[in-house]
Amino acid sequence: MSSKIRRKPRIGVFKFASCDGCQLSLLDAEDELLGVARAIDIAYFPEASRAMLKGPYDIGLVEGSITTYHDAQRIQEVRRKCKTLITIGACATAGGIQALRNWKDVDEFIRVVYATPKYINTLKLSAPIAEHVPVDFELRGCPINKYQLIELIKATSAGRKPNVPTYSVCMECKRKGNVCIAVAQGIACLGPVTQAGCDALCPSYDRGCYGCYGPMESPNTASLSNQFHILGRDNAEITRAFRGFNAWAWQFRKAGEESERT
Amino acid sequence: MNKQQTRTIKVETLARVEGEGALYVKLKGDQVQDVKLKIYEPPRFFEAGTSPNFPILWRASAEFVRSHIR
Repeated sequence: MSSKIRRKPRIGVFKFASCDGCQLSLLDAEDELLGVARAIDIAYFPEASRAMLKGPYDIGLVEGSITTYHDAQRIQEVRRKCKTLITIGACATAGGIQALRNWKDVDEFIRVVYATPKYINTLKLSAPIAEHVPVDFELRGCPINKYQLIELIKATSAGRKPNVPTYSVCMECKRKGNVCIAVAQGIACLGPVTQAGCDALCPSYDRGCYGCYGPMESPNTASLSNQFHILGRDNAEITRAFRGFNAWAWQFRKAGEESERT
Repeated sequence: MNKQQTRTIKVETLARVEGEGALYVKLKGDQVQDVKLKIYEPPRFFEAGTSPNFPILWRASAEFVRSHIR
């Protein structure tokens, strides 16, 4: 065994356009929190601590999408300071629910929402972090799964590949012994094209999957759209189905736009 | 405390004020002279989702919930 004491990894948590839910998953670790705090050195985490230590950081956890010019500059700086950059959640990984505006005229939205539009500074698109800087790992979910986050931090600190499965939600249903709600009840469910991670939360309660974890590794969205047609859904409904928290993920984007065109 | 003493309170990061923000307060004695609140959270335009002007895609979530319930 090496006599050298391994230095704890310094972690920075950075927020962009988001709801804070994903970074709070780290604090929500409850039973594991003390262990996590022992294993890592939280250097920058404004949501949790006023102590804001300067970089560089070993691991940067980035939450939120890039929607302003200022944030587009800031992410470059964050990338420079972090050895490993990890995006957490649907906003950082796919643009988030706010990416729905990418199909609309944002200037019109500004006029509708704000009394003094000139105060508002925003880009045309809500873009995932990877469209601006190279990202080392993308953790999916809206919100992320705290156990996957802990696994990811452990794996990154140890320099191994994180064990985060990329198969579909269907696998989780099968493992839980759920009767398929799409087959048995004819409910429109995005489970077959969505990555696992939520332990099939909605299908376990007789609701179709909303696709919170984004596209699985090889989603057959065309086949699922066809199945939705068989279940009696029209094209507009199918487009809406793909336009949720991960609407801007290219596989869902393509599927939604194909239904919109036809 | 001196009644004429001026104090300023600057909070660069307020984690939870409709997103992130900053606060500046200037006091003279026990009188507040100036308060500035800055919300620098990027806008996400959820309010537009409740507008009837954008009836189809923007209300995706609410309608999808409805289409999910048999």
